[in-house]
Amino acid sequence: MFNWLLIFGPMLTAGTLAFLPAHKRFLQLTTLIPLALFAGLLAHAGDIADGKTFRTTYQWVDALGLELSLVLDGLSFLFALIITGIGTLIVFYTNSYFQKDDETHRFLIYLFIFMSAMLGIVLSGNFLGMFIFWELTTISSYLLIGFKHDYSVARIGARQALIVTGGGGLALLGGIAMVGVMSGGVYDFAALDAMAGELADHALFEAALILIIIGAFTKSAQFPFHFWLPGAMEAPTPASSFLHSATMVKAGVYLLARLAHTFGGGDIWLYALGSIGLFTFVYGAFMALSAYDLKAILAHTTLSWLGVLIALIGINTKDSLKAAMVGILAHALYKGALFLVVGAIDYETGTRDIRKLGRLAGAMPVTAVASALVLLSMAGVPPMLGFVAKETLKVASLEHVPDAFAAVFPVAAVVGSALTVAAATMIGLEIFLRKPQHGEDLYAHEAPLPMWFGPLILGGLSLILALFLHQFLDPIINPALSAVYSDPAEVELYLLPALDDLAFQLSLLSIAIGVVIGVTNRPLRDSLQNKSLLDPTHVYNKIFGIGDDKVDVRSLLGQGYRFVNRRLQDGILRHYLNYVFFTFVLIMIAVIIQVWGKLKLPSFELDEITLLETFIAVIIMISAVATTFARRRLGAVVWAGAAGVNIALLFALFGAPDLAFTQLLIEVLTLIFLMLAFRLLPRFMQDTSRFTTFRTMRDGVIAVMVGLVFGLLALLASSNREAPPIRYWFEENAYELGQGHNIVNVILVDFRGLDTLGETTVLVIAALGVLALISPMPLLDMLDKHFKERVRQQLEAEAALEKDSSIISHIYENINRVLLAGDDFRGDDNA
Amino acid sequence: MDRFIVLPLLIPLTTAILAMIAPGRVPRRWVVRTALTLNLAAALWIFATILRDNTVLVTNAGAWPAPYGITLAVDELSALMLTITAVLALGVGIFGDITIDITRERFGFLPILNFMLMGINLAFITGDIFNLYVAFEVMLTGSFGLLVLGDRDNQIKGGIKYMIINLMSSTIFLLAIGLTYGVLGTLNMAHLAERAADVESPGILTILAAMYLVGFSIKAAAVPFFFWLPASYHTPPAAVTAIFGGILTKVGIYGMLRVHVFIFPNEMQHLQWLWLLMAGATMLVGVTGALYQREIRRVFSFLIISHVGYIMMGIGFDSRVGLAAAIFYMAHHMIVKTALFMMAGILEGIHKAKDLHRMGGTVNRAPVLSVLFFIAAMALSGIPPLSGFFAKFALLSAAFSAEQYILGGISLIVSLLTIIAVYRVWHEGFWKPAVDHILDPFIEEIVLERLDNVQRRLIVAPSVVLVGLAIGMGLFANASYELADRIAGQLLDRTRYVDAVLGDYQEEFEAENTLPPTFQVGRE
Repeated sequence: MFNWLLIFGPMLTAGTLAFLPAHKRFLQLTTLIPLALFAGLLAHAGDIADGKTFRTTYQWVDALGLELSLVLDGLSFLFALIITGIGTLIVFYTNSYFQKDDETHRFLIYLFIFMSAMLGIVLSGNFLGMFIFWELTTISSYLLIGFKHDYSVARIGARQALIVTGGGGLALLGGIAMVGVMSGGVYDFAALDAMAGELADHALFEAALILIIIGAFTKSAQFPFHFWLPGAMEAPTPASSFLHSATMVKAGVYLLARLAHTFGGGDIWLYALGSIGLFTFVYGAFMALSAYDLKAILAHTTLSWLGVLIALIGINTKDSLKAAMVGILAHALYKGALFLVVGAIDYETGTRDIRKLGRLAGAMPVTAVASALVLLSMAGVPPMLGFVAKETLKVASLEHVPDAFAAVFPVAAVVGSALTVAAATMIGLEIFLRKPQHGEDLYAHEAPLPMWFGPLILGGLSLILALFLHQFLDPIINPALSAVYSDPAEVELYLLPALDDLAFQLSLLSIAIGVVIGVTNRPLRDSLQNKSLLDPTHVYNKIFGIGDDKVDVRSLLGQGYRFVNRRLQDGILRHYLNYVFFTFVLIMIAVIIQVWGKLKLPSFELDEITLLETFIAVIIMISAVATTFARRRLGAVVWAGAAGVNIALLFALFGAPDLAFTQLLIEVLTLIFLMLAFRLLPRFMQDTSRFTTFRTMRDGVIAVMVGLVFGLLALLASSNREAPPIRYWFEENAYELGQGHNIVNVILVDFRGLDTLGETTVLVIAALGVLALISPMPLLDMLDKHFKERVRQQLEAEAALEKDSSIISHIYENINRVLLAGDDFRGDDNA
Repeated sequence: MDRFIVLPLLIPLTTAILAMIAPGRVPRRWVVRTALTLNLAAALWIFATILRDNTVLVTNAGAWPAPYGITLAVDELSALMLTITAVLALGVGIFGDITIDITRERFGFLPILNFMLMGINLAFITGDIFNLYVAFEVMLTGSFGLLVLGDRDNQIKGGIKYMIINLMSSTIFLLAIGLTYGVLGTLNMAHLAERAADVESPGILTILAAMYLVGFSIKAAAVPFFFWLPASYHTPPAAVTAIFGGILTKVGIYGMLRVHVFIFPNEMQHLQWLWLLMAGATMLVGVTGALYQREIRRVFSFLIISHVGYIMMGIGFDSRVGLAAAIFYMAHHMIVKTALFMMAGILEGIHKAKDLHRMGGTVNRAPVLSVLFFIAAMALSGIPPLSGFFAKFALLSAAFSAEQYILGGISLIVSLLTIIAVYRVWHEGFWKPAVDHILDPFIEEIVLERLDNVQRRLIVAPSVVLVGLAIGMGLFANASYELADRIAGQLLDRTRYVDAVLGDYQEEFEAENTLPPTFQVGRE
């Protein structure tokens, strides 16, 4: 029950808020929601520490194996605590962050949706169910990054984040679908874990794993997908704090931790996570030192720390997983707080440029104290939680590391830590102590309570959790570790190591290096000038284009767009027809070749064909060809008419006089109407320049091929009859049941009267359409007698015109009869 | 009871006639609204009956026995299509009779709409393949009428391309029917299915199936036959595009399901290469063409093509999973696309522009519409927990189960591109700040100022309902997916339909007729 509350509580809050006016009271009250959830979670702490799990399940889509099962175990508990706890402070903070209540209102709606989704990710016991929440965090993150959507940078950042994390999400979905294929539609984490061995032997295993890892890397901003995270700093600061440092970006880490036991055995896991994670660790921390914007600095340190978490999970030993768990918590506390501090500073001074900020310690003493606490934790100075995290990291880097990383890991750990320390030192110095690099001291005073309250609490927690390690930290970390390790596991945490401990010495070393770099950061920053090294953004731009207001022809998508819209959809009907006909012919030829061996080939004797038939056929062909070469409209009409009349002759010859008669009538009427319409038409073939020899030849070849294929198809159909036709029944019953001597008539008006009804309707619609096209006169308000009469005349005229010239009725008239009366029907309608 | 299945024909036909003679605008509106409601009621009743009794409703036109006369038969697939069409028709009917300008209404918007609806319904109901062709013709002429109604230059230009390419489809379809009659000697679908099952995949049926595939692919706007769609869909008023975008291409898909899956199931494996080739190309080309379109409706027009590719892919897998996924996708797409086109129309009305460059700031001006649009966009781009996600995932699973990894990969890439295309509309139309622009005197969009408050709500209401359906399809995905699966199962298991249509016809025929010797032409 409590599980449901965790998921739907924030969602319902968002839903309710949406219908409430943006009133300060309501908005402030919402702080209580995450607080209540946090308290509820704490109430479960004892059970969780005892190793219990709470599971609730709702079958959602049986056929797809999707169930909404919520499992509160150690790992979920750790994350849920972070989400609700920091969430409470964020909501509290938000209420004084925005100038307008409207903005707070909208922001909180998005935030609560996100909170639900994030809790959903960490609670889902079903892989597919988790993905649903995964995508919802992508969307809510997108909405929050684009919160200030009037600015194009915000939109560009939102688009970038959506494409990268959304694309990663799709990769993950592909992986999940493959897992489903491997497991036979099972997505439950526990069940998957039970069949880990079978999965690893499956041919799809590697592909699925790589896709899943890509999904996790994009979400957790690992190189080379990291660039969306600095771009996401366009979001309001509470969102950056909550989504882009404390919770959402850890979703990838969470997912990998969740899967570590099931998928974590192989080389791909080790090398992909280990190398990318460590690289990102060092890279991110280094890039942080080059940025001007405080939020960008924090973003880079965030992705750096995410890198080390991922590397730790990649190493996949008990020590490394422990370090990851502590690292997740420590980072969430200090980094979330730092973002809030930056928000407060931005709020008070109006800038986030580290070169313009300085000496704020006096003006903002409480903020400074809070910052000091969290920066010390970030730097990993004892006795802060950050120190415990760094210490466990060093231990993990030394013990039981697979050979491939045995040398690299400790080095990377020291370098990365040193750079992190440098970033922390730099932030503290530049904001609070030193004079600004550019310009004068800024005027500022202390931020309002909700803005320093959060950082202070989080800083205090960073201290208290470390001081009372065994009372508070162990009960949270150990169950999480057990859940990941799938086995009750405990690794001892300690605050005060022995001085001769190698890990401790490494920590001291990295702090020392870091402080030196941090103090002397200005030259480095000035030389790098806010530039990004190894920036994959230009690759992204090459593929997706920068913005989306206009076509970026240098990008792959822009090229594709141009190709489709200029080359394929070029607006010229004759090209379209060429494509249609040519593809049709190609397909038919391919299929005929494909089945050639199974076909009965048509066989006929040449002497079966009479001279007269040959003569008529030749005339038809000549007329058809001549029509296309006619230079004048009159000529074209006459030639087409000649072909039509000769077809009528063929009908007559093969024993269908009524058909021949109809055809003849149609030909005559067409001719008459075309003649009548002549004076209204523009000049024929005004622009002959387009008819180059090549085009004419091409069109001619296609036309001939179409004709040949149609003829071949008809021959093949006649030689491959598989069943007797039903026409004998009509012959037998037309008079008896239909009371008519003319079988065709009986079929048309009785046996298949519905067809005729349909075709009549076609004529009516055509008449309506033509009337609308050519007449400016109201059709339906025919009150005026004079109008009425004119409309009637017109209707009739148009109906006749449409009936006789439209290709539909033309073909229909003919083929309907041929079909139903049979091709050797003797037309004995007066029998 | 079975003969009530003619109601979806009779109601629109009668309505069309009544709408032509109705005195004045208001009575005409109410006649049509009532009739479309009745049509929906009839469709729902048919659907409920079929689901309850697990049966096929059959009636023979003029009481001429099958397979000689024209049989009308409704199974689950037909009933589903009828119902969705009825919902969309009612929604667009209300949206249309309010938003369409007075000239177009006078010149027969509502009658033609109903005639077209009759054609569409006939296509779903008929159990005779030639009658299906007739239904296509009614639909085609009706849609052409709606397309060019208003007589604007670009309408005519688009309309001509629409008409001519679609006539090619009709020609090929008709030729295929003629040859089918020559080969199998019958036109009744059940009878055809039975006879096609009897013969051991002779090559000629593969050829016929390929012809039908080309014919229906043109109707469904698959690559490389899609040109008519982007050429025309943005030209008529929004109401017309909405009904087109939701239904027309899907009638082509229905034809594929009926002919390829139902009548010629043995040919699927021989033509699978063609299906999957076309499906992949259609998905990619459609979405690529949509990426940077300047008009909203052009974006969504191209996306129709892309999503037709998805559906064809599902059918092409030739498995029950794929088929169920395709049917689910089709239902989802009809609902969401119609809603999006209607909202695009309102959006054009708000900004007095079709061009995205001239739009902006909608989130502030029309928050409710924005939320609706955002949800619909989410559904279209397959974001959970809405209908599109389940459709997408089911297709993906089907692809991987069928070991079609390339197509599965393409579908994922296309999904990402769809997200890009759809959210670009969101950025340009809704998020970016409002743009001052000179009003285009020739643009004739929905004039919102002319509407009273009730009417303004009424034109949003259909979108609300449709978006609600999309949400419902997602939240109750179990029920909706099972329904799709059941429909797929019934379509694959042809005996029930054949028995219901042909009854005891079989024995009689076999006793009286054998293959006459004149048919033994050929090589041997």
